[in-house]
Amino acid sequence: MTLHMGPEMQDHIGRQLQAVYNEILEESVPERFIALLADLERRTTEKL
Amino acid sequence: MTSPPSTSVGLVADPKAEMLAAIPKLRAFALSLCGRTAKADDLVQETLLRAWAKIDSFEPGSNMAAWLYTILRNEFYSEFRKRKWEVADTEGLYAARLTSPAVQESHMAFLEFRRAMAKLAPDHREALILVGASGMSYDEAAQICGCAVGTMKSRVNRARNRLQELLLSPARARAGQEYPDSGAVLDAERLP
Repeated sequence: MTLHMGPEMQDHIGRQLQAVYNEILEESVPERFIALLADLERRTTEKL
Repeated sequence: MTSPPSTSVGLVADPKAEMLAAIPKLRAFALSLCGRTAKADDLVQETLLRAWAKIDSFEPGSNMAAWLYTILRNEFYSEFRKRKWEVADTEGLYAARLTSPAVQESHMAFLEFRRAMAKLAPDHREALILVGASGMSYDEAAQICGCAVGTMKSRVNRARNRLQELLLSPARARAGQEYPDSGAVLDAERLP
């Protein structure tokens, strides 16, 4: 793929940006965060 | 009980569910600041802890991901700022597993892009992810980053121009960075 300055290049940047972002969005939430939130919720409930 | 107390003022009905739903976006924002590394997830973890402690200051019904991101970025600028944006060293290994030339070609373009991203200043990378990828308006992004709308627009423009330069001259984007051998071999194949 040969890239030049201009609209085509801006489209390329737009698509790649979206790809970087979507790659993370599509990952499942790491277990550590699920566990952390469950723990925080449990501790808050216990205090009530 | 048949319905959650959704009308209550100052209380989020289910903070855990809202935070959980915001995590993918939050991780993507964290990446814009500190790269695709374990540091990004450490930053997310710290953010969730802080956010939980001050959930009362969250306005119910407003954008949870945006709120979390303001906390994350404060944390980043107070604790993580000096650390360099890093490109994960697993990228080359991943590329080596891709066998189809077409897939390799597009993956190489993707890696080249990430390397160019790594060369940008953090505030420029952030502007691109918030406005260019997450679909936030300039107004929203400026509010989150505590800057004027005009500043945000100028960051996005300068970041795009810089990326353009770097992508047209990949050698400059690569300079000063180290990559695993597998990635280097694939790179070499693209040279004229």
